[in-house]
Amino acid sequence: MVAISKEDIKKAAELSKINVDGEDIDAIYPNLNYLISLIDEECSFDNNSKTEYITLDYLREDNISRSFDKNDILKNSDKIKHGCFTVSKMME
Amino acid sequence: MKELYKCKGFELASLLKKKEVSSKEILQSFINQIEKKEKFLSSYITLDLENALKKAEELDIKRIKGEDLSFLAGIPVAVKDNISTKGLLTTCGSKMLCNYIPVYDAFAVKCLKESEMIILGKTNMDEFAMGSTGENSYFGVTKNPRDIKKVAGGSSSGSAAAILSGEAPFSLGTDTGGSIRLPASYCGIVGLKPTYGAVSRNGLIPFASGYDVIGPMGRCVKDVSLLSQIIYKYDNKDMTCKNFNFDFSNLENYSLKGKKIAVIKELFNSNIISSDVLEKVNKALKIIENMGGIIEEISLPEIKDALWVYYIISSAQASSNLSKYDGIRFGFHPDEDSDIEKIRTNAFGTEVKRRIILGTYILSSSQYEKYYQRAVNMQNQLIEKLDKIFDKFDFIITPTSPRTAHEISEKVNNKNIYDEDICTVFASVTGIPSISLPCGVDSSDMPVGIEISSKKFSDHILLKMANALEKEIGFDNDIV
Repeated sequence: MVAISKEDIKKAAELSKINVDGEDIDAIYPNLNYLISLIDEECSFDNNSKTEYITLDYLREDNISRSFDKNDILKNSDKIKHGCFTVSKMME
Repeated sequence: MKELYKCKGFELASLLKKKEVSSKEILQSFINQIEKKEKFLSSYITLDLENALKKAEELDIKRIKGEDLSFLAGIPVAVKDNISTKGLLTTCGSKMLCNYIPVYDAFAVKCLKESEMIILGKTNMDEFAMGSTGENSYFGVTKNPRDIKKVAGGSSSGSAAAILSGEAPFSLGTDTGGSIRLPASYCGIVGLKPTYGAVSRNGLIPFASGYDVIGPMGRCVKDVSLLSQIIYKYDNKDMTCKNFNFDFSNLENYSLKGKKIAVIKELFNSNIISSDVLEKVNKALKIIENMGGIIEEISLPEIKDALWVYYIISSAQASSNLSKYDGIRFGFHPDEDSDIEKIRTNAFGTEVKRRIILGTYILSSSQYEKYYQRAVNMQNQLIEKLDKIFDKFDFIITPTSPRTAHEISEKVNNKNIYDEDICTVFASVTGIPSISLPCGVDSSDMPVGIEISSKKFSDHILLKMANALEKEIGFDNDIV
C-alpha cells in the first residue's frame, strides 16, 4: 500500500534539512510508508471533539543566576573566532 | 563471600554500611568485570574509571572518619548517554554529538552525586533514544549478555546489559515509548518508567519532551526502589515536574489480597503476543490469583491506537527538538565547506532521519489536522479511559514485549519492528507509571517480562506490588 509518495518524503526531508537522494530514500521509504499506512489504517478515530490543551497554573519565578562558563560552552564547537561560534556560510 | 559484582545493589550497600568491604573494593570488582565483558557487549560509550576510583577512595576515608553517608554512598552507577553529565562526554549514541561535553549535570545526576553514588560511565543506547533493540547506536550494537548473538533491547540497551553482566549494580535509563521496560524485559532485569512529571527531565537531551522520562534500572525491585528514592525529587527547573511526596521507605508487607488487576483482552486474546510470552505471563497471573489478587479481563481496543498516537506525537516532537542540531553550536562539523544539510545528512543515522522526516511531514500544514490534531484528541481520550479503569482497578498487567530478544540484524529496517512497542506505548502516551520485571524464560532461554502499570503518581505502590510478585515468581537473574 502506498501511503506516502517518495516525492512527499523528499519534500519533508528538504524542510528538515536532510538530503535523501540516492540510496538514502530506499533505506528510509519502506518503514516510513509502513508507519503512515499503519496510522491511516488504525486512525479511524472521529476527530470532532475539541482538543484540550494543558494549562499551567504555576510557573516558577524568574531568578537571575550566574550563567555557565562561556569558555566551557565554546569548547563544544570546533570553529571559534573572536570568542563566538563560527556559523557556516549559507549562501554565496 | 560471593564476588562483589555478583551482589545486588542493596547487598553491596549493606556490606559497605557494616564496613565489611570498602567502596574501592566494590568498584574494583565492577571494573574487573567491565574489562572482561566490555569487548563483547558494548554496554558503555564512555567510562570514567579514574574519577570513579578517586571518588571511591574519598568515600572510604569519609566512612572511616564516621561521617554520615547516604545508604547508597560509594555504590557505582551507570548513566545512559542522553543524560547530561558535567565534563563527561554525552553523545546520545549519535555522531552528531560525538564530542559534546555538557557544562552542567542533569538534575537526576545531581541527585546521584548528592547521594555520593559513583558514576562509572555513560551507557550505550539507540541514537537519540529512537529504537527498541539497541542496534541504532553510532557506537555499535549492544549485545544481550545472556546470548551475545541477540539484541539487548532499547533504547536503554547499555543500561540493561551493564546490570545483567555485572558491569554496574545500578543504572539510569530513559523511557519515551518503552526504552527502559523493553531492554529490562529482554535482559531479564527490572526497569521502572516513572509517572511523567515525577522525575525531573532537566538535563535529559530531549527526543519527545511530552513522553521522555528518566527512570531506575536494577536486578531486583528493591534496587530499583532504592534508586527511585534518590531521583524522585522536585525540581523547579522542569515545569512538568510535580512536587509529590512519594514514600519508598517500606517496600515490604504489601498484600495483594483483594487487589483488582485488569488484563486487556485485545492483547491477551490476539496473535500479537507470542505463545511463549503468553504462557509465562499467564503463569504469573495465576501466582497473583494465589496471592489473593482478583484478575479481571477488560476491553481496551484503544490500546492499538496508542501505537499510532505515539508515533505521530513523538515524531512530531522529535523533528522539532532535533532541529537545533546544525553542527554549529554542537559537536559534529566535518569541514569548512559543510553546510547544515550536509552535516545533518551525514551525522544522523537512518532511524533518526526517518522520524525527523515523519515528524516534519505530520506537522506540515496539509497534514497537521489529519494526523497531529487527531493524535492529540485520541491521546486525551486514552487518558480519560485509563482514569476510568483506575477508578475500578489497582493495576493493569500486560506482557512487556510481544516477543523475547531476537537475533542481531534480524529486524534491522524491518517495518514490523514498530509493533514491538505495542505493550509499552499506552503507558507512555498516558503518562502513567509502569514497571517491567522478569517472569520466566522462553524455549530459547531468553527472559520474558511482565509489565505492571498503575495510576499516575502511585509509583511507590507499584513498586510494592512488583516486589511482592517478584518474591513469589522467584526468577533467577544471576549475573551472566
